[in-house]
Amino acid sequence: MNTNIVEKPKKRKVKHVQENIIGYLFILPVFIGIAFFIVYPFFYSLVSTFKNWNGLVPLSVAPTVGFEMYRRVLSDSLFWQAFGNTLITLIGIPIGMILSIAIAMLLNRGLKFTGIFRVIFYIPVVSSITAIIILWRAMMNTQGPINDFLALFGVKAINFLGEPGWARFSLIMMLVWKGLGTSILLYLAGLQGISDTYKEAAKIDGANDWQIFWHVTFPLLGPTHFFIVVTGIIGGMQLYVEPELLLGGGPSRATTTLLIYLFERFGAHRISEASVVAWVLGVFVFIITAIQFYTNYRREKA
Amino acid sequence: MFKKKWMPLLLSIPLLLTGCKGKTSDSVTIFIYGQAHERSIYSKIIEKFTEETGIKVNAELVNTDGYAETLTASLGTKNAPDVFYSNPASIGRYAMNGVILDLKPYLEIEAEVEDGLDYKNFLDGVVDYYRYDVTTKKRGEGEAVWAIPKDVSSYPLGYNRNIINLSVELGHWATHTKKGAWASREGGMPLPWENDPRTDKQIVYTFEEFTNACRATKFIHNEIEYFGTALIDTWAMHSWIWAAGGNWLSDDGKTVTVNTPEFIAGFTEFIDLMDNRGISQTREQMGVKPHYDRWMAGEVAFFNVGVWDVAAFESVPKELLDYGLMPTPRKDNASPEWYTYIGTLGYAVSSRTRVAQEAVKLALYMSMSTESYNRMTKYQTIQLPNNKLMVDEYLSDETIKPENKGIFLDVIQKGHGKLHPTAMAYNSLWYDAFIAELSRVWKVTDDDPSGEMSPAQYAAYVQPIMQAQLNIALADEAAGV
Repeated sequence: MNTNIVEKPKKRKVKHVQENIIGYLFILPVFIGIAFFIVYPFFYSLVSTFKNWNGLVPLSVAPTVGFEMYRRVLSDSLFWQAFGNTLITLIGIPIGMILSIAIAMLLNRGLKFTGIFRVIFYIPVVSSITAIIILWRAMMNTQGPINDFLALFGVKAINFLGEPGWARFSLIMMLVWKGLGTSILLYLAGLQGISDTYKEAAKIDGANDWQIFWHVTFPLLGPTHFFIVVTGIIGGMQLYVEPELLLGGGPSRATTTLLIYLFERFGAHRISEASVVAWVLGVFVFIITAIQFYTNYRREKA
Repeated sequence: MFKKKWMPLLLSIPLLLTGCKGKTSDSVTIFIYGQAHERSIYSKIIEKFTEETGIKVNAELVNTDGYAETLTASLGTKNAPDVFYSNPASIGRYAMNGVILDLKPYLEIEAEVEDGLDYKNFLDGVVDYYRYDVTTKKRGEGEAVWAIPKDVSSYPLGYNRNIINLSVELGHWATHTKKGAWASREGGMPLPWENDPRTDKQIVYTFEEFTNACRATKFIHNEIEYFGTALIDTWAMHSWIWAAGGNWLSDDGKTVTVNTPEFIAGFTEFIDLMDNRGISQTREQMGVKPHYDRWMAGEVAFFNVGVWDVAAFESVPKELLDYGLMPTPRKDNASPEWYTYIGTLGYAVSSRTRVAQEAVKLALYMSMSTESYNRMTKYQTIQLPNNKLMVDEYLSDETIKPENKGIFLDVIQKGHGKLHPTAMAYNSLWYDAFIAELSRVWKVTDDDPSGEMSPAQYAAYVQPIMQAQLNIALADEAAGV
């Protein structure tokens, strides 16, 4: 009798452990994937920043140089130029947000053909980046359609892709245009989530349309603003394909972003310097995002 | 029950293992790039190699995109290909880090084999491009041969005979070139394919004479605008800078010398030629129709011609493009030397190879066999002959264009060629810094009088940036990294 009482939990426990092991084995490939493709490279790249590694020999053989690679990168004027160029492109985030809210509010009014407009605005998001670049290069040419249009108003041809200031402007405009579709959809979802009772209450209190937007709609879109700003900064700091394909990082390095700078180091077998850039970039994005989360948390708490 | 539970896991193991690719030990792996028509040629040469030697080859022929990154990622591993491309700029780092073999012992063995290919028959001096002394860190020196040339190309000027003849016919040539030494000569300056009466050799224009030739060929006729020249800065400016006595680095390779008076003189002359004399297609026009397209359309009188261009240029009807080769300009009558740059790519062999002798045999075959000459030079010209035993045949073969193709070889063999500046240091980021901001000296639009900076201002601005990058390259080279 006693024996039976002792044996039953044991059997259950064995079965429980066996089931756990099988369960863990099923998720093991995912863990292995994360370990190999995320955790291992994460620490590998961190270690490489303290070595002078060229990628041709095993990392363990590369000489340890302390913070020398950080000194190299942070004292390089080209790094800071690339950093500045990257920050400048972030101007596109507020521009894109303003345009997106405006268009989303129009689409949210239940106008005819709203569905068609949504599709039209989303086309750039799903289009091939190469096709987009070819299109923009043709449009921005000194003898392209944009300059032809400006010429109707007596404006002299603008070298959109050949003059550093205009090249930055062109890049930002292209990024805004390309990202508009996603932002509009997010804002549309946000707007549709705002109950009409808030607006009606504001109306009863005598608020005009602008006041309703500024004091009711805009604050209630807070989570959407937050999401767009956070993802915009993360994406913006990792900008590579668009400036590289549209302008090759030029003219005069005006659109050489941090990732283009990183890739140049990689191509020259200066892998440790490339890793330093990646870490500086990662830490910068982490800090900015943490500040945003904290600010958002404080705002929501208030 | 237990079996059922384990079955998915057991089935997933082969899936995981399929990601692991091994090399077959008895074949030579070659990893090279090229355009589609080049890859087709390489395949045929490799097939012939296997047929003749019985050595199996695992060829990975790819296009240029991503080649360098893929190679970099594999070189430090046991998956490195046996044979791959390397250029003179890379061999220093590869040699210092032990990722490539010194080919000399293997080349010597091949030279001794009956019917083997003797590396001493490469064009004179070209193997030196791939020498690097790991002790003294000197390029072109030492006994070791770290790669053998896949090709050696030069980049002289070309002329379009149609435009020049039209200029003569319309009287522009005489008007613009009856100056200086040619003031009293009937018809003005000798045409680019004519001999200089003073030397009895093909004429080499001075900077000034070349400008005059471009002025004479810049006109509108039958509503077609012809341009004297339309050169691509990053490919062409070297000739003007070297002819003026300038260079990118000091002789010891430790100082960037783009701010010397000689460099600035050549650089200024080139930028003036392109932007400020009204004889070149402008940068605005280039945006509409690139220089290359304009040359192919028969609208540019003088343009650089690379060996690799020959097949494309030959495909254009002669009525549009009847071209020949000519030397790049020299500075003045007191400076007889003209220069253009030599481009070269080599075959290196991985130090991890288990088939070193076979790999070297393949590299030699790809480079200097009769089969490679026939496929890459004779039937279709994508490169010059590497084997000096085939030079006479190349020069006398009238089916190989252009007619005066000997200039290509003169550049390499008669001291008119210099290796590209990127081959002068441990990496090329210092040189890239010069090119990256070159547009600062260009005209912004045709209406603007000049660029943001003069060539002299740009040289002063960019020299410290280049020097900082060069210093890093020198430090890495000293440390053997």
